[in-house]
Amino acid sequence: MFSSIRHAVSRMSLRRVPNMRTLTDSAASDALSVGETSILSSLSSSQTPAVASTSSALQTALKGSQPTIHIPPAEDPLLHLFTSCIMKDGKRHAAAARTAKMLLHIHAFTKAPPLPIFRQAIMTAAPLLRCRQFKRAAKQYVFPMPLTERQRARMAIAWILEAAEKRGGKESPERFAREIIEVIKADPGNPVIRKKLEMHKLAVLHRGNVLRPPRVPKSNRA
Amino acid sequence: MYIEKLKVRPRQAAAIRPCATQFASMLACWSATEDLHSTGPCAEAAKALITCMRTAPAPTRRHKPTINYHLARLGKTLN
Repeated sequence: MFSSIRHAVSRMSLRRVPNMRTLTDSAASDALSVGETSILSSLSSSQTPAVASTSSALQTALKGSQPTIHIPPAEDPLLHLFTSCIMKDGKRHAAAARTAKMLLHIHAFTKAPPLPIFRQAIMTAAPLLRCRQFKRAAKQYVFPMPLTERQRARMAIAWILEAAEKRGGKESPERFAREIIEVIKADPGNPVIRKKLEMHKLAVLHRGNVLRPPRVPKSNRA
Repeated sequence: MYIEKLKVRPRQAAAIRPCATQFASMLACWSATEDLHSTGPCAEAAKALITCMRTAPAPTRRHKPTINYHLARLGKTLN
């Protein structure tokens, strides 16, 4: 989660300018927002010395006195997101157990470390944009918009979970694992890959709408 | 000339579109090369968009222009 902290720091500073926030608000949200970026990049690649997870005001105060330290998060952010997606009724431990079982199944099928395989599958399945569609005066408009990393990962996870239900396997972690392995092949016949390609094709058709979208009444906006 | 209700139809504030140039260039690359997975020629364009989205400021809602409030307030002195 802290693998590109420089981006996180610049994101914090960029985000601060339009909003007037008190020091207490910013301190709390900075500690949280430092870990938001680069959910898809692996933790092991975070070799650059990163900034400690304190508020920006405190950082400037400590600049001269203390060296920067790298605090890795307790859990891989992509796995955390995946667990949140399969969690029901707030039962996180049960969902985390299912995630762990899924990783075990991936390892059992492939005899390789499961986390890079899982990450690669999410990156293959994740679309880079979404197409907002709305009707205005009986004409359908399509407006492609880029997605943040978390949105991309979440979309990929949602599609994989939906497709996994049709797979064979006694328990859901096994079905998830089978779907993950199928997705990596990037076969255009795979339902997840097909959805991604359709979304991208639709965006290419309507790429003229990116820079100047048409005006739409508030009632119609998606 | 006396205008009873002094008001204008203000222009809408331009919407904030993050990473528009990178996005447009990536879509142009896709249409030219059919590389919808961004693994071949469009990999760099896709990477540029991803890094831009990582550092783009969060879109905030802009307030509507308040010109009409000021016109209504100052209308009595202007007329």
